[in-house]
Amino acid sequence: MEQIYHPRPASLAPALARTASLAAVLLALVSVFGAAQWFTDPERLLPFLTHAYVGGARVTLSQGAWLLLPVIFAAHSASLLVALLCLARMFRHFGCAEPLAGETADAMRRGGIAFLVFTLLVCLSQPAISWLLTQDNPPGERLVVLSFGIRDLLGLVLAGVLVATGHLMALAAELRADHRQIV
Amino acid sequence: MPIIVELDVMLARRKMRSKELAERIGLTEQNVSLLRSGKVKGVRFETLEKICGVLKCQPGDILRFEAEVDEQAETMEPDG
Repeated sequence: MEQIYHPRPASLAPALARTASLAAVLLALVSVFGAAQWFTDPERLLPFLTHAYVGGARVTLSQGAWLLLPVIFAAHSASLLVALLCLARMFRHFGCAEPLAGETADAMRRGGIAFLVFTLLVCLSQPAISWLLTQDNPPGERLVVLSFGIRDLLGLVLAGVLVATGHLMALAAELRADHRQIV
Repeated sequence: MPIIVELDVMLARRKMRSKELAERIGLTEQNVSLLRSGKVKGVRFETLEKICGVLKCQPGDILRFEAEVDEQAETMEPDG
């Protein structure tokens, strides 16, 4: 009878670490490419932004918007990049002989905080970007779009869970280190 | 640290190496080494029982309390 191989959870950790690192590299490349595209030919990205943030309404790209929008997206990318790098570090520690260590908990907590910052930025950037894209429109055509859906809520909950779990793991690691000093 | 571990003295009296003690009480050599140097936060009664059983001694033979300087000054002050 053929035996089915079930990989031990610990052996998946290095692969997950590599996946998170690869995702971080891809994100960095996309961010750099996006920034280069924006500063050389912003009209190519404008339809995407229009559809995503103002539902296809008319937009006017002012000088201020042209400078501020990449700053907003850079903040998004930076926070998500930090979250992915922290997750990669966490999975690398999980793959070691000491998965329950202070470093693992610290990486999980930092990743959770970074992901929380990313989620909050996503929630707050919708009104900011919609305003930036339409502030130079004629009166009556200026928009501020507010939205908060199940996706945003899920992101906040997941980030909160990561932070809380990281905190608990840090406490558990401290207790374990303490118990190890009792022979 | 006020608690002094004198395991070395008892091991020398019984002519036993720490490696043999570690094997007989079920601890790693590293933990026995930490215990000998006093770099542990505590000792379980179970471990103390095993050590005393192997070395045929009392807990007081391997653990000694030595008050720190400030505490000594307080205890030496006359009453009244």
